[in-house]
Amino acid sequence: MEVNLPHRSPPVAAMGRPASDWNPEQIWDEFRNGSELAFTALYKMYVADLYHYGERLTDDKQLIEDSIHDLFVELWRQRSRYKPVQRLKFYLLKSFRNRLMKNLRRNGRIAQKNSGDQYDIELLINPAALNSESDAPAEELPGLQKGIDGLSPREKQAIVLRFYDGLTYEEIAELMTISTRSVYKLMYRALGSLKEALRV
Amino acid sequence: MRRYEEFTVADFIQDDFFLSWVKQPTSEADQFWEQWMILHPDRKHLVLEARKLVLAVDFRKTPPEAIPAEAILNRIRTSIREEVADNTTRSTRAVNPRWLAVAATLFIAVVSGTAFYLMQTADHVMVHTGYGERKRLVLPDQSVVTLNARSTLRYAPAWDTDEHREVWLNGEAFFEVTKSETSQKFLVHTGNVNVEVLGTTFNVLNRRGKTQVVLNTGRVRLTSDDAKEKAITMEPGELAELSEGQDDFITRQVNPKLYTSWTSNQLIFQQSTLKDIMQILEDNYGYDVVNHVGELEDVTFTGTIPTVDLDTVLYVLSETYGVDFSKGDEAIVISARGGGEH
Repeated sequence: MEVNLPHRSPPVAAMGRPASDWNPEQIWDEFRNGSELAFTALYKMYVADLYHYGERLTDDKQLIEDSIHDLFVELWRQRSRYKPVQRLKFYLLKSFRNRLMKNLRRNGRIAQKNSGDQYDIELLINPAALNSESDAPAEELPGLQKGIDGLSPREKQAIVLRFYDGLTYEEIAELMTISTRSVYKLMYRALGSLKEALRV
Repeated sequence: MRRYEEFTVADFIQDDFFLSWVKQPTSEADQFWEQWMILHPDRKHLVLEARKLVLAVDFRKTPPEAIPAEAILNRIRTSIREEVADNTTRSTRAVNPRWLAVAATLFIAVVSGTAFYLMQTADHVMVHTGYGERKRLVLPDQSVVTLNARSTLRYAPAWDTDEHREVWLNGEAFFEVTKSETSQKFLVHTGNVNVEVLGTTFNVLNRRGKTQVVLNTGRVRLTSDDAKEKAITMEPGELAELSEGQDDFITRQVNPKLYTSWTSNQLIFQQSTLKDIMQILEDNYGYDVVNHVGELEDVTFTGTIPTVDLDTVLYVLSETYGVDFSKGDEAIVISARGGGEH
């Protein structure tokens, strides 16, 4: 009589390869098909970006951790319902932000001035970036720091979403729930201040 | 489209190709921008300035190695596990007030339980049958399971001799359980019932929120948190079932052969109503069955039909009931003969 050998879930193709070779959308597809390895891989790929975004929206670390927890539990629970996504990082940042904001509201903290896009990020200068090809490395520092300190909270939010997370202006607009035009304006003003500071 | 020759610092920062080079330089991108700066020495400083800005601006953040990533992941796993436990028999709550709601989506609940198990230990084995498909498999203890159509069984690939032998079933299966030298329990978990055996043959059906066990030989014990009488012991020839919303097992004497006939590629019916038969067709072949001849619903059929192919089954039924059983893409339609030609 025929005996069928038990099936095993296929290994995640991405595991064991260097991170630079990972194709996030492919891992997302494996996750949608129920792969736990892919789920863990997604978590590990994005947990720092999510945590750091959280730190730019609130100073409540516990709430950030809770929101990451909630996001991934929900992802796993709904895994079979998701569609393929093109910009996975943006999608996760957005879902995470919505969850964090909901948790903030529930805690009655959203009314506080310093949360969400009004949260005043502390921007810093990375001196290593200034030394390499710079004509005048050392003296740029104080000026640039001054330029940075003069930025509005929303300008800082937009700058970091572009510089650090590499999001497009359209994605930044959607995250901050403002028009793309407003993002251009924020960026333009912020860059103006920074450039000026850099030349001082 | 504007060309890079006309770009300002702000334009470069806005450009996705430029930004991806700054953030994740590849040798191709390096080559492009180095070339470009050689060709446009008067614009070179703008590229460098834009790049410098992107790299120089940082923000106060927890260093990646200080993020409690492992702790959060463990919490996530615990939450998922608890959620699954809530939805399966492993919950030990005496009365589950959510039982009705859970039972209505039992299929989904059990499926997510399965997926989770794969998640917890990637080594768990999951066997699934599709429509009209049957599989016979040998478990690690040499017990044999025949899995009926549209069913899922999962179990650990290796069983320790000092632990329970456990399988999780969604759908229908016939078990021929070997006796264990160390008297290990053999446990079948369904949505609401646990079947405990020593060595025996029996059939378990777990569909639409109902678990039905028919014992051929040996002895089994059924336990359920949903039943008032938490555990009952079955005798050969007995059928026991527990449906959603019921608070006790219903038992009766049956001919076990009728319930296990599917394992020998036969459907044996004895005083089965057309309604029962429709349900079996839906369960095993995945078709919706639509009956346009309502008065036939309670007319019974006794006989044996080979289940090798669905067309034969439908032909026999059609001849017996004197109506048309026509098979479409998704549904089997029962209608009066001739469709008005008479």
